[in-house]
Amino acid sequence: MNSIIQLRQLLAERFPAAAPRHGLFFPTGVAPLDAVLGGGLWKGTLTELSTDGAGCLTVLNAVICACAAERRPVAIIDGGDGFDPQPLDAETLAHLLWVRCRTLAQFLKAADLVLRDGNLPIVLLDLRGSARGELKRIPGATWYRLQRIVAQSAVACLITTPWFMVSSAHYRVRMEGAFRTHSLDMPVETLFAQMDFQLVRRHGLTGTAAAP
Amino acid sequence: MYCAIVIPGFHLQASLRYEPGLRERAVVIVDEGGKPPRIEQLTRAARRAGIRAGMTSTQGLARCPELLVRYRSPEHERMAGDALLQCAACVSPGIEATGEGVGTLDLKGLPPAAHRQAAEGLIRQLGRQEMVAKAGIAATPGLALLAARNARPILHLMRPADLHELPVSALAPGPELAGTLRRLGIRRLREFCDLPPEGIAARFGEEGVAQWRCVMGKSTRLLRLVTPPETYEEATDFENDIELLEPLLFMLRRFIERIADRLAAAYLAVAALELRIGFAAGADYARAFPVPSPTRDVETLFRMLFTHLESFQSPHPIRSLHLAARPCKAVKEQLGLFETTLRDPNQFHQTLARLSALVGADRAGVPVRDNTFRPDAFRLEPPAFHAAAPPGQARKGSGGARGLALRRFRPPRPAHVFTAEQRPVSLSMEAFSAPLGESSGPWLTSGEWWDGQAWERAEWEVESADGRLYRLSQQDGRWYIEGIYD
Repeated sequence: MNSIIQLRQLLAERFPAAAPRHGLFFPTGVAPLDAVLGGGLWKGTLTELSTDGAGCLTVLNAVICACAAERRPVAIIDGGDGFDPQPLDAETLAHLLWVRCRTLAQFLKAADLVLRDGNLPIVLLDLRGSARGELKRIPGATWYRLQRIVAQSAVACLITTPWFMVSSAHYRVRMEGAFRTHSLDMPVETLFAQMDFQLVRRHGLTGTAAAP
Repeated sequence: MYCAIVIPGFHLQASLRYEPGLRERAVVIVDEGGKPPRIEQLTRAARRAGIRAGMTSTQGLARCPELLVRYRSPEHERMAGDALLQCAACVSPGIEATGEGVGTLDLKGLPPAAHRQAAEGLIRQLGRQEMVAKAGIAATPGLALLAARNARPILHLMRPADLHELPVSALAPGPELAGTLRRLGIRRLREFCDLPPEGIAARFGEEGVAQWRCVMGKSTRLLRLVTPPETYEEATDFENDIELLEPLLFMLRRFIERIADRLAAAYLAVAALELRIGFAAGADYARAFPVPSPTRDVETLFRMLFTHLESFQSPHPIRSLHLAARPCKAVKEQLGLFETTLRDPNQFHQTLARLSALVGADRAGVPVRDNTFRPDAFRLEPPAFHAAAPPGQARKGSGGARGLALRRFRPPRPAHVFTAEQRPVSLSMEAFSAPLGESSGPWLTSGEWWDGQAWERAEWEVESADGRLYRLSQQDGRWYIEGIYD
């Protein structure tokens, strides 16, 4: 499997015009985010999504819904145990593996296990609920280790953080949006249209996988 | 044609299956039922040391101080007998449990050229089950058994005369018949067969006639067919109690290898493993391991047990080990081009077990909402992604999500909320205080008043001055922050 992915990436690098784009990424279900990422979450990459405001968990919910629509299993490693399954219907939840971590150490070990497993095509790492003091103590090498695991697999990994901290992320996306109480009744598509997604890094990739 | 399989020294071999390192040492099997207990079977090393069957273990130890004495184990013998039948059933459906460590197969349907090959395959397979076997192939069950007892390791009798050079002791005659043969000076089967048939009954009695007819190939019988056990088991009682994981894993791996080998020959896979550990204190520990995707891959099955046992703490030393595999038909799955199910369900099962060990069994799984309106009421269940709907059936819809998602605080954080005109206007909690702007509410909910677990609350959605959105709840006059919208 890995060699096939590497072959595809090599072909995409050599022949960018002829390289098929479909099948190398997973659409997130968030049209503006897909637009800045060039299609969606790319297989074998780490994508970091960060914001000072709100909206990250809503994006994760959208990714979960998009995966469920394709009957594709997805995992969310919940660093702060803040994920709320109530808004999602039973059929969507049936495709979700939710790991509720108590500590950051548990989060990092759980992420390592799920990414190494490689069975779930999309892994969502949610760090926005974790204590900021703990987040600052994550060694930089941790992210490089996760990046090496992801790069050798067909897994697409999306990490949500309160500030950019994943030094090895292939993609970094900053999200901005302001919401009021009446936003809570809007359809998610309208909310996403109000959000501003900016690609601030496209790192270490060439060819198709790097070209939004 | 028939094929007889004989495991010489069956009681000894049944015990040494679990201690294969002792094969080259002086070991004897003693039958505890005898008075006094006497040596029944022994290894070559014990025989070289001058020990013979029929001696007492004390006499044996006098001749060889390094002698290892083992007692017969009905459990080990049953396992070995089951393994023999299960291996034999892979060659022919017509099998007979002729005796302890002896089986007879009906080779009807197999081409004659394949008879020897089948016997060789069966001996090889029994070898992988840590048993040395001999096979005899002949036209009648009796001749096949006679050939098997005198085979090295296979004797294929094309005609009864092929046996004629054997000594008459090959017949394993009773004491009376053996004495008569000795008095008459009959030492070879040829001499026994050359006797005129008219006088056999008069000289040798009923047993003599039966043996003569058997050697001449004139007697045959129907096999008493048996069905091999459906459960594949291995078990042992340890000579010394086990306190460490390594020897336990070593033995488990050996068990799995044997079971997988027998299953492979029968084109079956493991649907579930059942592990039972017996403690020195007398209690048992039992656990079942369902295999998500039936397999007979040794590594996968071993990893399944290993993952569990590495976090297993035994209250007492371990005295016995029992592993049973429930077989099922091996399913071959053709993955599609657009496959979305798990590639390796067993690997995923292992990962899930590790996650459960890491965060707790109730904190990793598929969320299922409880049938209630009570907020944040859910449970986690084991995922069944491998059994999900087949690929290519994409589902429309966004899963029902609407508005911003709530990032919950578990448990909700107590807060002080000041109200004006029955609306929250200020929020304060530990090291945090903020005036509130817009608010939406109250949203009144209640439930379960009918079963004594009544709950009632008022919820508000509020916007703080820094633009963040919170959900507040008021229960029993107290305020809580349920979460922040993210």
